[in-house]
Formats: sequence, structure tokens, C-alpha cells
Amino acid sequence: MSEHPKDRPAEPEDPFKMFAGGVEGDPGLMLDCLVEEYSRMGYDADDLIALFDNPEFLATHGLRNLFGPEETRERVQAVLARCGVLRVTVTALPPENPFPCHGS
Amino acid sequence: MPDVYNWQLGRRMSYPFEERHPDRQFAFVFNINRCIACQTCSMACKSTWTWSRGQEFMWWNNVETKPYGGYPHGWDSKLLAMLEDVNPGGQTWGYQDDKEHEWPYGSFEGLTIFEAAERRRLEPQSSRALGYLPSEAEWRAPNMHEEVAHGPVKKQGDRPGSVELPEHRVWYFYLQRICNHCTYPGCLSACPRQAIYKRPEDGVVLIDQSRCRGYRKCVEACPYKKSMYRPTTRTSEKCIACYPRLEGRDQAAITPDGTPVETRCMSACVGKIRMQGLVKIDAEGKWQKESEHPLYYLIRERKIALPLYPQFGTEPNGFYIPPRWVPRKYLEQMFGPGVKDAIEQYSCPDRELLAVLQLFRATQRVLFRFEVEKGPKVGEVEVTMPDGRKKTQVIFNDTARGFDAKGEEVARVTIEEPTWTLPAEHLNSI
Ligand code: SF4
Ligand code: SF4
Ligand code: SF4
Repeated sequence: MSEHPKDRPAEPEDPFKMFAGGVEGDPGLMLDCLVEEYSRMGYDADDLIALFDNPEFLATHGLRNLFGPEETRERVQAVLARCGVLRVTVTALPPENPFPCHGS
Repeated sequence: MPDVYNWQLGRRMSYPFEERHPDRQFAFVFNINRCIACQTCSMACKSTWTWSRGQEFMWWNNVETKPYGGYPHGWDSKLLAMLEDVNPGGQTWGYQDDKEHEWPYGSFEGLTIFEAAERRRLEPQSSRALGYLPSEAEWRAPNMHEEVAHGPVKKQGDRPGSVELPEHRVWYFYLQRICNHCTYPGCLSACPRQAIYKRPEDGVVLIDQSRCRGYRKCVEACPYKKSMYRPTTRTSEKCIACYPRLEGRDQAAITPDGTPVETRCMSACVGKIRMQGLVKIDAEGKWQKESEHPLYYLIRERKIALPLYPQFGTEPNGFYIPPRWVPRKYLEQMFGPGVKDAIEQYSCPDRELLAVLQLFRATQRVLFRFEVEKGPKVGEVEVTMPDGRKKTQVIFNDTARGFDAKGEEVARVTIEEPTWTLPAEHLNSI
């Protein structure tokens, strides 16, 4: 009896298999940088944790899956302890329609 | 083929048509460092322009992971390999710099897609750019092989065909892509029907649907694979830069005074990573000096936003602030030799740069000019440099002001001060 297809090793052209190779890099640095970026936009620890918790945001949520929720929180706090949160005030003049696609 | 000047390559190059330049050019900057991959931009475009039958696999805006993702699958690595094949070992940059910004990234010594086609002596005339036609399967999944950070990767053999990766050592980033409305479009160069044209008023590249016969030569020749075939109409379609918004002709509710507003994908961006504009071009194709134009400032003056694969030779008008955490070598292949300088500057921005960066998505109006009002120093913070070093950044109470096409102030962003939250155990320590 021939082996079941699911047990055969995947071939490089198989579109349904994930193939990856190692590339040197550091996802911890990626997380630190993202935290710094959003702190420049005024995001505090709670805002940032929400960004990491939300599965809709693949970049941040992927990192949370990698490091786990506890370590993610610790890392967010450690970065903010260094760089703080930049308070910025944004004013659009004149105030804009918040639902521009649906008319006024 | 005539010779044209490509400022991104710092030299002249062959292109099938004579140089002719628009008065202004639609251009944009995407800050990769801030993208959280929510795909709101992709959906904003899709729900506006490509929701009909035959457009199911069409994503004029897409966000893909790098290094392994891509839409269509492998679009960039395939073309890079083809170029390497035509010019083995020769796809390199000379690293000169020039104060006049005539060749800001040095001079490219390799072959563009047009020159590679010439060397290959590609026939017929419609194959004037080296390229390939992706298969249907390659278009079908918008981000096949998408990177997602997971926990420790399984050991070899746990999953057939997978390899063991060192724990916590994978990196990835998201690349946002729309048509680059190139100065020397590959798509336009290849169309046997001359159905593709570049608008003289804003440099937007469009496909005339009444002329297109669906030969797909543009799909083959666009190095970014941003021209796409629609089987139900048997024509090709592409991003139109939301030109009704650019012209100020969208709904009265958005542009009551007829000033240009940002495209759908830009204005929907959750991470505020996108800024677009119309930059002034002279008759020779040079960007006219406009130091107070936010795009001119970021791209030409500070050079922190870089073109995507400039070596392809189409002079794309989309520019990217490269991600700080990604290995330099990879980024240099993607954005050219300007990467080191761009990342150094961006990681620890000076006061003017920081102020201009705050203008991203502060308004829906397209900005034509900025001003920075200087305030007192309000603090110092520590930032992470690309090599992991920490550096001190000085923060000032500065205000960036943005002005629209009519010179009206439409956005104002003030940097107040850095704030710190004390850990809970210190709250009552005073
Ligand atoms: S990105 Fe492609 S489709 Fe867009 S103008 Fe350039 S060559 Fe044409
Ligand atoms: S500019 Fe407009 S048409 Fe082009 S990708 Fe963005 S939303 Fe789509
Ligand atoms: S909307 Fe902005 S943040 Fe979200 S995926 Fe698109 S570019 Fe990235």
C-alpha cells in the first residue's frame, strides 16, 4: 500500500507548506523599535499593550505570540522607562469629517 | 533606445521613449517602522476600487511580509535572479555621494530591466523590459509564505520539510506596496497598444481601458507587478492614485474647496505611516528645490526615505523609511546604498526631522509646505540605534505646521514633552 500523501515530505514547490530559512536578526530589537515608534506618537504602556494584544495587528501581535504576554509587557515597560512617552497635540484645521466616506 | 536621466541611479540609462516630464509628480513616503500590518489600507482600496467580479485576486494596495512573503509570490526575488543571470556579479553600486543631490545614492553600475532586455536582445519590441508573467497560482494568495513570529520553531522532522531555526532569532517586516507611478514606467514601455500614459499634470500612470486589449505585456514588464489582469473585462488594471481625490474632485464632504486630499489607502492608515504629495519637476526631470515641501525634505534633503529597488531603473516615486531592526545587507539590496545614512538619522531624529515626522496623517489634506516653530528644550530621552546602541535624543517643544495647495494651514502638531509613568512600587515614594 502506498504511503498516505500527508505523510510524504513536502516538496519545495508545494504552495501549502511554509518553508523558511534562518536569517540573522533580532525580533527583540523589532519589538523595542516598534515601542519607541509609537511612544513618539504619544502611546503609553496601556495603549501599547492593547496594540500587542489585538490579533488584528499582525506585526505587534506576532511579537506578543513570540515573547508571551508577560515578557511583552515587561519589554514595553523597559523601553518606555528609557524613552518616555512623547506627548503631542495634533490639530486638524478646520476639524475634519471623521466619516469622510459617508458624506457629511 | 533613447537615453534618459535617472537621478536615483545617478546616471543616464536607455529607455524606449524620449524623456517627457510632468509639472508635478505624485509621490509618497511610507514609514515601514510604524506598520502594524492591520491591512486597513488594503481593504480601503479594495472596497473602493476592486470589489467587482474578475477583481477577486486584485490588490492594488497590498502589505506583504519580508523576507519571504510577496504578492505575487516571489515577485522581487524572481526578477533579481533574472537580472543576476543576465549580468552575473555586476549588479553593484559605486558609492560616491554628491552635494548637489544629483546622485544621492551613488551611481548604479549594473543593468536596469531595460538595459538587461537590450543585452538579451529581447524581441519583439513589446519586450523592452526584462520581466516575467506570474502564474495564476502566484497571484492567488496575497501573502503566501507570510512571516508570523511564533514560539520556538519545531525541530527538524517535526514538520515535514521544515528546518530548525534558532529560537528567537527570526526577523521580519511588513512592506506596503502600491503602484509607484514611475517616472520611466516598465508597464508603459511595453504596451503594444500604447494604452498606458502618464498624466502631464501629476505624473499618475493610467491604463486607458478603451485601448487596452489585455495582452498583459504591462503585467510582464512592471518590475513591481502592480499592473494586473482582469479576466472578466480582458483588460489590465492598476492603481489610479485615487485621482479624483488628488484632483480635489471627490465628494463635496471631503474637499469642499477643491484642494487635493490623500488617497483612500493613505487616509485609512491606522499606523499613520503614510504621507503623499505632489512634487515639482523641471523640464529635465529634476525635482525642483522645495526645502519646505515635506516630501522634498524627507526624500531629497534628508534622504531618509528611499526608493524601492531603484536598480530596476523605472525611477519609482514611492519612497520608504527602512525598518531599523533589519540586517543592513538585506535592506541595501532593497533600497540601495542610502540605507545606512537613512537609518542612522531616523533612529535619533534631530528637532526638525522629528517635527516633520509628526505631520504624517495629521490631516487628510495633501500637504504642500511645512513650517517648524521652535520652542524651548523640554527633555532628553534614550533611543535605540540600529546596532542596538543607545543614544540620547533631545526633545524640544516645537510645533510643525502643514499647509495645503492653497497655502492654508491645515494641520498643527505640537510636541509637548516626554512623560514617564513611575512603576507602581514607586508611586508613594515622595
Ligand atoms: S509600478 Fe509598475 S504599474 Fe506602476 S508605473 Fe511603475 S511600472 Fe507601471
Ligand atoms: S492610491 Fe488609491 S487606487 Fe492606489 S492603491 Fe491606494 S487606494 Fe488604491
Ligand atoms: S493601514 Fe497602515 S499600519 Fe495598517 S497595514 Fe496598512 S500601512 Fe500598515
